[in-house]
Amino acid sequence: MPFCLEEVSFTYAAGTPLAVQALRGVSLRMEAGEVLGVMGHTGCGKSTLIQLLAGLLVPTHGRVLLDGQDINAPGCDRAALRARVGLVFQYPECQLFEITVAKDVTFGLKHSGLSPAQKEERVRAALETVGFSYERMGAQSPLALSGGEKRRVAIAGVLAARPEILIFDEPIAGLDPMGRERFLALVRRLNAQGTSIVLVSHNADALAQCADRLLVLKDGCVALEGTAEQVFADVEAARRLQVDVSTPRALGQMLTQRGVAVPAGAVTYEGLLSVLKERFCAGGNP
Amino acid sequence: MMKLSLVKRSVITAVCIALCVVLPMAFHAVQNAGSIFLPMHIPVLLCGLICGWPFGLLCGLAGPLLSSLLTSMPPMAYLPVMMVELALYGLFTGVLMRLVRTKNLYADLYISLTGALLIGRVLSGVARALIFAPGSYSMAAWAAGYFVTCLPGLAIQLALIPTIVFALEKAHLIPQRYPKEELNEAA
Amino acid sequence: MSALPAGQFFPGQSVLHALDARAKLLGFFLLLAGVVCAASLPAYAVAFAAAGALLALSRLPARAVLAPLKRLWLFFVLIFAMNALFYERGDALWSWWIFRLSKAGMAQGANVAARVALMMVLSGVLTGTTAPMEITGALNALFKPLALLGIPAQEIAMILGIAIQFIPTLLEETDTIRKAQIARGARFESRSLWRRAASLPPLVVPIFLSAFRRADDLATAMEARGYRGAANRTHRRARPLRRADWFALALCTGVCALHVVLRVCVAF
Repeated sequence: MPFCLEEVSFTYAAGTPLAVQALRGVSLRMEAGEVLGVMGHTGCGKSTLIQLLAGLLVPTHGRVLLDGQDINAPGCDRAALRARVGLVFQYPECQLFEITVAKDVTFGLKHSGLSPAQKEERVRAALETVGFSYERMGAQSPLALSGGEKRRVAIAGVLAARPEILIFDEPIAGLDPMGRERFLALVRRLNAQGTSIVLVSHNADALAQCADRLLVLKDGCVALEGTAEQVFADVEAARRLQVDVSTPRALGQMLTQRGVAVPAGAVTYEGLLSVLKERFCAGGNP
Repeated sequence: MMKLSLVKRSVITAVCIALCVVLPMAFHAVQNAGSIFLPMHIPVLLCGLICGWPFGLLCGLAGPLLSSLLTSMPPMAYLPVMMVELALYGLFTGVLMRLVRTKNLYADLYISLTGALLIGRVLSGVARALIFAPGSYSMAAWAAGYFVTCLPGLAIQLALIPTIVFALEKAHLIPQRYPKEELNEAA
Repeated sequence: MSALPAGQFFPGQSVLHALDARAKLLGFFLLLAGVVCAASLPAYAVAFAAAGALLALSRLPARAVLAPLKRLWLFFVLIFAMNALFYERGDALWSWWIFRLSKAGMAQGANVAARVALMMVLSGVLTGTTAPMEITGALNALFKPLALLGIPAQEIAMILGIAIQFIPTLLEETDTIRKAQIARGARFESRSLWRRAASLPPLVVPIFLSAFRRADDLATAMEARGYRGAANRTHRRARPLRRADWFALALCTGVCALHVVLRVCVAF
């Protein structure tokens, strides 16, 4: 299922005095089962990129290919594309509208052609994936839940279609630490089941923990690409691109400056801790 | 719904006026359905139902005016007629919602809505015949314009508005009209 | 939204951009009154010439201002048909059930369609050369005399101001909600009326919920800061109209007067 962008550019209000170029010739290849993190300063083109991936925007130039097929070609089945690529917008809780949680999660399956029993099974599974019991939550009003619970219901609404590729836009913005942990666990679980995931986030710690590869956008171009270790290696370069490095990497940098050399590859707390443990506990001299 | 403060009602009215501009644009962008589904009526009716008649009246006057100024929808030629019609809806939903208290939210909503939609249509038909197009306006044109062509819009309003009010109550964005305790006391 | 919305403001340096918003708004109303009076060919010639001259003076991209006209062709056909078929006066050329086609009706239909087109061009020029906040300010100033009649004009102006500030946010939010529902599998492009109607709740209910949530937040913030009413607020002192503004107003009054004269003197 490789997902490719070929020299994709996108301009809003093209051909008018208000034209704004959001992406400039971005190329990208995503492999099956990969977790891709996307970072960048506000207005760098992140939202445009994911809307192009989900087929909600059509590139001004270039092509978006799924399995080698142009998703914007005239013959392409948009409904099938929507079922394969799931997009969870920022603050997805705003899209809830049904009377009950179960109905809201079923909404996306309306045109799927599944039998009612199959739909219920999908909804049950989706709710369980986000940690809710169908029996307990199904009949409640989604509007009376807490913010974090609403967001999980909204995510279940996208999961019910069983997409192969899931795109999350700022999924942990505004969540408490518990909610954040729960979400990262969900990403790992979904990825282990074979779902490819695109995570757009400002949170470098979360991306360092679960992304296989990171993409840093700046002014509509790919400015940096690589594993978290590679992208966060040069702290100054990241700062120039207006993105944070992960907290452990920043700590490692401070320690290095104060004479305790920590390799640039320690971008997660586990990594940093194991480096420090080796230095200080296994008999080595600091 | 008598517990909304004056400031809250003012801001809700402002938002409803903004929606008078936004919803028709959204409907046009989605499916060119603006003229069939009468999107501008929905915020005006809701404003009257939730905030009361002075605010509903303001929303009905200001909504189409602002929309016409900013997006040229409705066109200026229809603006006065439309302002009168929507102002009447906003006014009478508010008045009826205050008068009708059946202890059942849906019954109140449906009675106020249908009442306001009827009174509004009759009165704006009269206004049209006497003021805007004296002599050239007939019963047939009135029936065609206010009941036949806007049938899909009417159906949408009657289906959507109670749903929206219910959702707003559930989300605690407006106070409940009949809180549980009050009902228990009555029973 | 990748399609440009109607009534978009285009920053620029033209003569019309430089005029005071109050003068533009008043002039706009005068020209509108003129257009409403128009009922003969010479009158329409004057009106179209005036609209064309304004469009040229504004140096706006003509395509952007005229685009709404093109997008609403069906609406024009409808208003023409409504008038042509339901007009009561004149000899009927053809009639069936409640429909009655007449020459006078067709003339009336053409009249209305031309007026609407003219008004759309005029308001396109107004909103194209005047920033939304300036329009509110101008409305605010023009509303002031209402206070003498016991109408809470400043409260109303405040509500209108908040409403205008909410428009871009709510437009963006609407677009996001629409896209989110499409990504979840909603279909808004259906041909059947019934299906299209059924596709509205997933769009409209969340729009109202998020709009009311924003209203709730703002009202709470205003109350927390001790807001009581608009009456005691201070306003930026308005600067007086300049010579160019008066000249523009005089021109608009002249055009309006010409229309009134044409209405009285020239039969169709």
